[in-house]
Formats: sequence, C-alpha cells, structure tokens
Amino acid sequence: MDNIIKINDLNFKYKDKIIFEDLNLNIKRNTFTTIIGSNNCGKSTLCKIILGIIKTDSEIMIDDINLNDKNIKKIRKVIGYIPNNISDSIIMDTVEEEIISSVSKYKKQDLEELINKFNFSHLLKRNPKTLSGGEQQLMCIISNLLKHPKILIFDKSFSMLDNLIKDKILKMMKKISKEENITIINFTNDTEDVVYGDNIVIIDNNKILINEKKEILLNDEKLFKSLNLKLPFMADLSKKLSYYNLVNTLELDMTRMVNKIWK
Amino acid sequence: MEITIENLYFKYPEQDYILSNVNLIIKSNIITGIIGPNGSGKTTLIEIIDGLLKPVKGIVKYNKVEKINPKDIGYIFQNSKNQFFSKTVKEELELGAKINNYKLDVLDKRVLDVLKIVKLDKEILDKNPLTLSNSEAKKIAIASILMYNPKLIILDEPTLNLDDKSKDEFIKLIKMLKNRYNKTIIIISHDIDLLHKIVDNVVLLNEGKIVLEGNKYDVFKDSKTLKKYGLLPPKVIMFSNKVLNKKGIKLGYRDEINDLIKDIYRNVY
Repeated sequence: MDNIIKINDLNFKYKDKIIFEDLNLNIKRNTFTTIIGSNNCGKSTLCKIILGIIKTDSEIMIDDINLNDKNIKKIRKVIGYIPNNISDSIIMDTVEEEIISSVSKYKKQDLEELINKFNFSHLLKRNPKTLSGGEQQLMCIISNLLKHPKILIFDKSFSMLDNLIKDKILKMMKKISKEENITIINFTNDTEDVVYGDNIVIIDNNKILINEKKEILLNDEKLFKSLNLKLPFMADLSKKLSYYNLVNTLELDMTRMVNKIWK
Repeated sequence: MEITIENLYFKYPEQDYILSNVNLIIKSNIITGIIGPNGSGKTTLIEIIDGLLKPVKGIVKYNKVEKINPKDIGYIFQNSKNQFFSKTVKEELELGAKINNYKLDVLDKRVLDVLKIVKLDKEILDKNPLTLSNSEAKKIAIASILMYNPKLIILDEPTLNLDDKSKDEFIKLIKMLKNRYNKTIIIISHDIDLLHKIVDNVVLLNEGKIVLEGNKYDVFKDSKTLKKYGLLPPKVIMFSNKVLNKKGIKLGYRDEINDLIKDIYRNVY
C-alpha cells in the first residue's frame, strides 16, 4: 500500500517558537488514522499545513502531488475537511442547498445514494441552522463525500457532540473508509477516538513520536502514561482484566469482551 | 448555596419557549451536572441562575431569598479567554478582587492564595492572559472568580479542548473546591464520562424541560431514557450493565472499574 500523504523533514516556527523540527509523517492510502498529542503539541498546525492553509518550505506530497501554490487547487479537490464548528459557515436556507452549495459538479444519483445512506431525506427541507450539532456534522460529511475526496480530515470535529451521535459518526467513517477507499485522518483531543481507527499517530516534542497500528500501541500502557495520555477505556479494561486472568488479549469491542469473560 | 427554581419559563420576544415549567432544587455544597442535546436550554438555564437573563415567569431563590448577590456567583465561560479584559494575569486577578475592596497588601496575598489553589506558579502573573495555554487559561479564569470567593461556581463546557492531563487536574481542582472550600458547583458538559467522575447529581434537559433528574447513580443507570435523548451512559456503567446482565447478576452501582472487576472475578471463579 502506498502513502497518500508524505511529509519529509517538516520544519516550522511561529514567532521564534519551534513547532515542528524535522517532522516526518507517512499516511497509508485508505487507512483511518487518529492523530493525538497533548495540548499545544501542534495538532491544529499540522492539520492546517496539510490543508495548505499554513505554508512551509518543506516537502509535502499529497496523493503524489507536491503541495505548493501552483498545485493547491488540485490538492483541495483531493481533500475533504470537516471543521469543529459548522454552524458559523452555513450560508443557505435549506439543508439540500447547503449540501450542494460548495460542490461545482455532481451526479444526482450520487446525492440520492448519500442521502439514503445517511438517512437524511427527512431533513433536506429544514433550515441547516436548526439541525443538531451531530446532524450538521453529517450534512458537512455528505457535502464532502459528494466531491469524491480521497482524503477526509476531521479537526476536533466531535468535541461538541453528544456521545451517542459521535459513536455513530465514527463507526460510519470507519465503514466508509473501507467501502469507498477513503483515507481518514482524525485530529483529536479525545484519546477514546483511537479505537475507531486503524493507526495512531502521536505528536510529541515537535515531531512524530510514533505512527503505529492501534493493536500494537494500545498494549503499551507505559508509553501512554509517560506522555500523560490516558489509555482508552476498553484498552485499560483489557489490561486490568488480564491482571485477574479474566481476558488475556486486547479487546476493544464491549460485547465481544463480555462474551470472552463468561466463556 | 441552595438554589430553588420554581415554575420557571423563558423565551425571547416572539419566539418559542426555550425553558418551560422548570422546577429544580440545587442543594448546597454539591456538584450538579447539566446534560442534554444542543438547544435543550442548558445554557439559558445557567444564564438565568447567574442573573444574566430574567425569566418571563417563575422564580429563582438563592438560599431561600429571591434576590441575587452577584458576588455570590462565579461564571466560567466555555472559552475562558473570552472573559479576560486585562493585559496581565495579575491585573486580571485583581479585577475580581475590586468587588471586595481589598487593600493592596491583602490583595497581593489573595492573588498568591488563589494561584496556590489552582496550582499555578507566580511567574504566570506577568503573562498576557491571551497567550496562556487552554489549561492555564481555564485555571486563571477559575482563580479570577475565586478572588471574590463566590458561593456558587457555574462552568460551561469546562473541559472542551483540554487534553487528558489537564482534564485530570481539572477534576481534582473542582472536587477540592467542593470538599475543602464548600462551593456549590454547576457544570454543563457533553462529556458524560467526565461528569460521571465529578458530579453528585445530574439534570437532563430536553426541549426546555427537565426529563430526568436525580443522583448520578439513578440517572446514569437509566440507559433507556439517556438513549432516547441521544446519550450513552458512562462507559464503566455500560460495561457493568452488559457484563452483569449477561449472567443475571444483580449488584449495586459500581462506578470504580477495579471494584467491578473484583465482582466479576468472584463470579467467574
């Protein structure tokens, strides 16, 4: 599998403060990566660099295109972006208009399929401002998917959502990543999010400390502790149950965990 | 400070009711979590308690008195930096003390006292509040209201964008404010797992009405009602329900994962 994002020796300073020093990051095509790190580690900055909002001199390749001024339009077609606050950027009066407002060309059939997939038909005539936070996120996701992006980026997009809708959206994204061959990157402060993805990237001390499959990383309680990060609930539970010999492997699914315990 | 809310209604002119028939007693010296979907009226409710908004009908009593003393209440905004006015942290903290007419020598001591409570070094005093990290800003916002020693502290989404370590520090600080300084505390949050670790009581609002209320054990156990309003119970409760129901084991409320695991161990072996 090739790398859809390649960042080589990224250096970035803000007002004399080093944010990144020789940062290297490869993201494999069609995977779901969760990017975590403590406050002020540079998550949002890295997100803005990948989106081309912050410019640097370093070599960044996105879908084999060099990220620079000349190619920025091409790259924007490759990337879909779901911000933290949708409400402020709503411009249209109905959900349907809002979904297509930022899409220049699309197939009607694609739109219908997405509306059905996300069970959105009953919301199309509503004013987008009256939707719940979760529904607004879904509306933004539909609009982005209509453009057939190769990469979908979430920047702390779920921090204001109630836990049930957040769980639903992240599960859907996991499915979509596999079915539609889309690379998903979730920049988040919530370490619980890592259980939905394939890989975990940890930013620490101006660079990428680790980029690894979650199954490997979530066994490493010491690493998380040393970085002041919490193991997600299910990983922590797996560890604790193993002390009592109740379960001996990492299990991130609650129902399967219960079955293993009583087997 | 005990808050009694009776038959409360609120709406903006020519709009639908945002709150209707809210009746609630928030007991003194406890931590209450307010949860509910976006637009359910959470922020409106605390803005009425804070005295920022006046209800169209109904009354709010503070220790059985209908009159509010602004000095009794400290309100922490969702984005702490929105509540800073001053050029330095020191000036920001002193601003809060002006309400109490502190003399200069007492004032300096009070500034150091509140910094100690929120566990920040005095080097922070010369910094511009807008340059603080999210976690420092939250602590300084709390410190600035502690300057005038309010009885009630209201926090709106206090842990938004805080990392794991900062969240843990926040939990400890809030519990200390309740236990050592006898504060009454109200927290609005989306983070059910966080609330589960801090609060004593929970109020669930939906479309301006209280749909579930009680001590956290009763509210968080009621997964059916929570789900109806878009919420999952705290993870430890979800797991506890699943693992015990499977074998039909009836136990009391287990909010500590280690206690729960011991119970499972006893039942397996």
